[in-house]
Amino acid sequence: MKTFGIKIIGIFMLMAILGLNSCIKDDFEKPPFTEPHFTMAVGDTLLTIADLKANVVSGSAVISHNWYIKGIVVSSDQAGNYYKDLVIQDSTGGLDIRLENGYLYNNYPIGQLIYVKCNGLYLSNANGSYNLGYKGEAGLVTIPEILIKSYLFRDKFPGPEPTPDTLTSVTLTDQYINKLVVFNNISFADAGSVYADPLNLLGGMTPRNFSDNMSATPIILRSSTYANFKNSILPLGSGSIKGILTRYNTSWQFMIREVDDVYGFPVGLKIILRESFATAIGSFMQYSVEGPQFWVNDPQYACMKMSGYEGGNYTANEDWLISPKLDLTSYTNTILNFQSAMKYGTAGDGTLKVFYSTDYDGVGNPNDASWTEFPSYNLSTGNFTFTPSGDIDLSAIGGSKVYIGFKYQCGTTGVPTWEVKNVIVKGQQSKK
Amino acid sequence: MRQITSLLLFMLIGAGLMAQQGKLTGNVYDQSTGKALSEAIVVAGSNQTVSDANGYFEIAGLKYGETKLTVIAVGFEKYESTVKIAASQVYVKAELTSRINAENERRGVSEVNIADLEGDDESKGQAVSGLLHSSGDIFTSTASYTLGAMYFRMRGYDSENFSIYMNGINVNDAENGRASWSEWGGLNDATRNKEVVNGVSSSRFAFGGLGGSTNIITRASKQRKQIKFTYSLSDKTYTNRAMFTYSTGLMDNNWAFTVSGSRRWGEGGYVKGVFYDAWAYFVSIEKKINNQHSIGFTAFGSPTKRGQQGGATQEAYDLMGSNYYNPNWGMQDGEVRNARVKNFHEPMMILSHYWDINAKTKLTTSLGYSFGYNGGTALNWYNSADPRPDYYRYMPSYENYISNHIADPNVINLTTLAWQNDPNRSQINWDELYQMNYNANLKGKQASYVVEDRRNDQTTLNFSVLLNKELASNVNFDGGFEYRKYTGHHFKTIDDLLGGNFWLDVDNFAERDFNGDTIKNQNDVNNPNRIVKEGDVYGYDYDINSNTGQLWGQVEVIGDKIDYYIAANVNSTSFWRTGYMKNGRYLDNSFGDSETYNFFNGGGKVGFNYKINGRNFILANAQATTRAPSVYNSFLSPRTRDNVSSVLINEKILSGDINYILRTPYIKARLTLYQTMFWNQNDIISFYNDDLGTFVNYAMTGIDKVHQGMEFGTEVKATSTVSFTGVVAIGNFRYTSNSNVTITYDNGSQPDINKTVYMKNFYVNGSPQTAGSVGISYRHPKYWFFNANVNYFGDNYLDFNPERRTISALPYANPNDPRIPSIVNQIKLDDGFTVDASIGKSWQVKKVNLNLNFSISNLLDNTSLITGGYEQMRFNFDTKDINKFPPKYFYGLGRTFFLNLGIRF
Repeated sequence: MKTFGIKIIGIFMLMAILGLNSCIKDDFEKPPFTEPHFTMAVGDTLLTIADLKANVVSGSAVISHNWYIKGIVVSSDQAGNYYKDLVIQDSTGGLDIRLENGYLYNNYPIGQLIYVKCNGLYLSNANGSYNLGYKGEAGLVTIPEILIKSYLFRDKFPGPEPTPDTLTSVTLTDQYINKLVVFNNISFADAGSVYADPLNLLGGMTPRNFSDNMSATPIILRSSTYANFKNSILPLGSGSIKGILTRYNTSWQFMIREVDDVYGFPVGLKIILRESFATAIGSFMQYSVEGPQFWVNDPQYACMKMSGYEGGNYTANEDWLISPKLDLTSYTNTILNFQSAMKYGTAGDGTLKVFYSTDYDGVGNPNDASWTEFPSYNLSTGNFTFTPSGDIDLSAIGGSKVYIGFKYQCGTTGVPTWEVKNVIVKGQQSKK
Repeated sequence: MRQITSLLLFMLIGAGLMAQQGKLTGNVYDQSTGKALSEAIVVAGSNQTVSDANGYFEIAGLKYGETKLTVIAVGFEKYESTVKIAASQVYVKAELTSRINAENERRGVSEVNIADLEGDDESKGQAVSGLLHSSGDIFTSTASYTLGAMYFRMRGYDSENFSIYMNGINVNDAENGRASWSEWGGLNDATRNKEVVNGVSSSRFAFGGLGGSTNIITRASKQRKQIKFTYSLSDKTYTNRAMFTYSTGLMDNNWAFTVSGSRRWGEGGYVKGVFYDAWAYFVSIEKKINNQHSIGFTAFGSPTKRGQQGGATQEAYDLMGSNYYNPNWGMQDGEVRNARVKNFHEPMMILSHYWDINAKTKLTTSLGYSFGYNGGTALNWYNSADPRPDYYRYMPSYENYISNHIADPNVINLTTLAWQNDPNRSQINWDELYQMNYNANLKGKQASYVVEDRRNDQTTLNFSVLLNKELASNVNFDGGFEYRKYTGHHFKTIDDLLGGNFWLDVDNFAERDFNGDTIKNQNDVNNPNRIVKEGDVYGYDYDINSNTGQLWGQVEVIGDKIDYYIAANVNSTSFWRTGYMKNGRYLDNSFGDSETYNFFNGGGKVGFNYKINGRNFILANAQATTRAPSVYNSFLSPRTRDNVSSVLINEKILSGDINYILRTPYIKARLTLYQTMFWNQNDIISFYNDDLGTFVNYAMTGIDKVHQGMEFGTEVKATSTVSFTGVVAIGNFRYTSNSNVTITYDNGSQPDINKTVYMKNFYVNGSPQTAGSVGISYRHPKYWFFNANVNYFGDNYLDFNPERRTISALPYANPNDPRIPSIVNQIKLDDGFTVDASIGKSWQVKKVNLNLNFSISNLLDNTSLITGGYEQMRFNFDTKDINKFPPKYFYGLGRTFFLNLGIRF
């Protein structure tokens, strides 16, 4: 019976060897980076984007021809500014494809060549810009997620971004809509503001004007509050902007893909003080030297307001609106801007003057300090017309204790109402 | 000399040739614990008797010459030997091997020992047994092995209420209290020796848990002397199991060795993607220095990798035509790749000193140390689409839930077809994840998708002293001291970049909630914007430290009519967190040591066994204890910070049971009524809250519960070969209070919210509250057997989402809104039946013992029995529609088999 035991042991050893050698796979071969390829079937026709727009009456019906277009992806939802849109372009134009999917950039990065099967899709021209999508009950909707791969076909590895067309505000034409373009020497009207402000939305996006000073009409940069650069600051000075041009009826609009699409702006140009007075006095203080009235916030007109007139009485007043302490030591080319509006007074009557002080204590009676009036600035001439002050040069003022003061002064006659808003002090930060 | 274990020794005394007849005396012991076994039936020749309270027996009137000695005790293998009566008095020490099976793992199938095949013959015994120590209870064994397969838990207790010891060292998890059997998985033979205490009862090795205590005895000298090979084939989790055990028993040179090893492996179990790749090793050495002192050393470990199953919604199961659809895997490289792999190896070493101070006093001292790694992988992604195939937006039903959208039946159809036909839709599309990462590489960006390994590497130092002392012939004292120093190192690493170049260690949600804040988005401000690669630690990195000490003692009095015991313990727990990353959202309380939280607790228990007569017993037990909150339910979000739950107080527990036990030659039965009350429990869960749009920590406090019910088990011996078993458990496990919840934004972006969870009278989930089993067992004298059981599972409830039981979830407009019941009511799972059967045979060929066992679980292939699941924590607060995020379920396995071949020398 010994042999019986030996046989059994043998069987077990065989099993053990099998067990030892049976490696359970947990190290997987990386799949290769596979280059996508697409070829159209016989009978399919490739149209240019311009041809497609020309051949289809917008909003008429679902396309029923075996048409394809091809283009290179120029949009990206990676930064969150684009959502459910994929913009492609060829040499004849650009097109915005609406897709029911987020994170398109992973599969359709900028520079990816794609073919789009048009048969079954729906083209619509909404207020000047073309969209390709799916036909829903009430017009164009996104292509359902399950169908995306039945309509979009990648071809080749993603290449570099196409060279953008360089435009100016006077060379804008429809052929550039939904194409990647660049404007140079532009500046932002709201420089110093964030890109996207949830309190300032139009069609879900924050509009911010920029201009290259060649046309009176600004171009509207639209940014989403879902963008990862929503809290970045629109730069001061002038530079370039790259992105995708769109149109909404007669106004030209613009979308960037990521914050780096705004470039070439001077480095170090900083906002030192920004106070809009939109809803409150903010970091400023008011000091009433004389008279029962004082500077108050007017949220309706988003400004600070002062008048010696109240309840039918005209009262002599001296009232100061004073900035927080400004440290200008590390800045050069410092500039002050504000906007003023006036009524019930006479242009140039001196009832509002703007000063600076370097010895004010920040709390007490401003008349205990020495104040110097700025030599030259523009004020409203009446009718509550908000008037930009123009650039007030502060570069001659040094020090770390600078105060700006708006002084309202009136007697009992010729008592005006003054409003002030959007006080900005900016400067070039010098290297430390 | 068949199958009998190590230490059979018999002594022949002198040569009393004058007498024609001799007397056989002896003692019966439990081989693994050395404990005397009372009421064992001892048969020698045609005479028989029963051992007394000290395990002693005498049989007189034996003729000189060889006689067969058989000893039978409940819960032990039958002991047989041949004794030579060559003197007027011959002494024998009979050491019996416990029959409690090591395969306590829920999914395991008990191996069949040769002893199980030989119909026990207790028919003539007057079994007045020491039931407080009995572990062969039919209810317990059926509940563990047969009903446990469908996640039945005795008395509905969480596993933290079952204490597990290894040579006197507590091995319950230090953070959540749970008992883990997987750390010695595959070492069934080496961990077979156990002392088991069920429920609140007297225990000679520990104060013990509410549900019971188990002490696994690894002493080499107590291991059955054997060489054993086992091979098993199954389609449950692993496909193959091979085990080897060699045990010398205590050799003449006073050394004893046991070595054991095993391998369990398989590419896929019953559920696809659930692969198994495990090894195990065990070494135990013991040296008997002299009659008083022995030193033992044990080391074991079980390096294991296995693929996990994920719960899915019924919609996904229906689409795939199987309730065993597993969303965790996808094809890569022509193979099934599971994204969720458990991977652990936590070796443990124990050094023990056994000191028999005198015949009545034993002192066992053990020092234990365990270390190693314990990880589980999962997909992680950054600024990319959810890669899990069953994400709710990828389901056909999602078309119905898109806001401002009219559902398109064509889309529903196409999505349904894709699910049914395209594995890239219904499973993880690994290739696409790689391609997307390759695209990211082209742009120089971080990987969009990675597989991360979430680790909890535990290091534990244990020290225990156990004193067993006989104060008088019928009074025993047992007591001990236990100390544990624990550190759990929690962190995660990049397991696989999936072809990507790197990963940036910043927080996705913080980037959104604190856009532009370059401090708050950091996981580690001390190493900002860190680029991490495979193997690098990222995300979180902290230790949970816990020190516990316990002192306990018990006095037990054995009487003719009544046995009783009283026991008490005091214990202290202190724990704290040590952070190794300075989290950008919690600069002040994420790095370094937290406050230390200290808790002092204690408790006592009493019980008696009233012996009405030799066949009828009344037993009762009661316990009152307090317990420190578990670390796991104390720290709100240890991954990011130190904060603890606002209410951190000891739990209170009161428990009692009363039992009637019947033991006749033909019928054995137990009927138990029990009630346990828990007060002041905590529970912390973290999840993505749709209403708030961010991750929240949901800390519930003041949870009170009652577990009450009835247990009944009986075993009826119809003939010498056929017996029937019946087991019934009827429970009522309920929450008895509403709880208070504090909702904390994980990123601290908003102040905390306090509200009430209306959960009073909800059912405690996790186990059928009603279960039963009826079985028949046939044991042929020629060593083959057949068993069959019909099992019933009922009154099982789904884990509920507490948020749906708060005021926030309810529609305000109309208190009679028909949606309210569907939001609030707890889901009761369907009741169901299963049938199990097994057949086996064993052969004895000279010294080789071979046994073969084949069992089928769920013979009728009931694939519609939900064993558990949970409501998703996401809830559609806008429409109050519960179907957007439906519950996820787990189904009990359908028909599976287990084939076991064992051979022992």
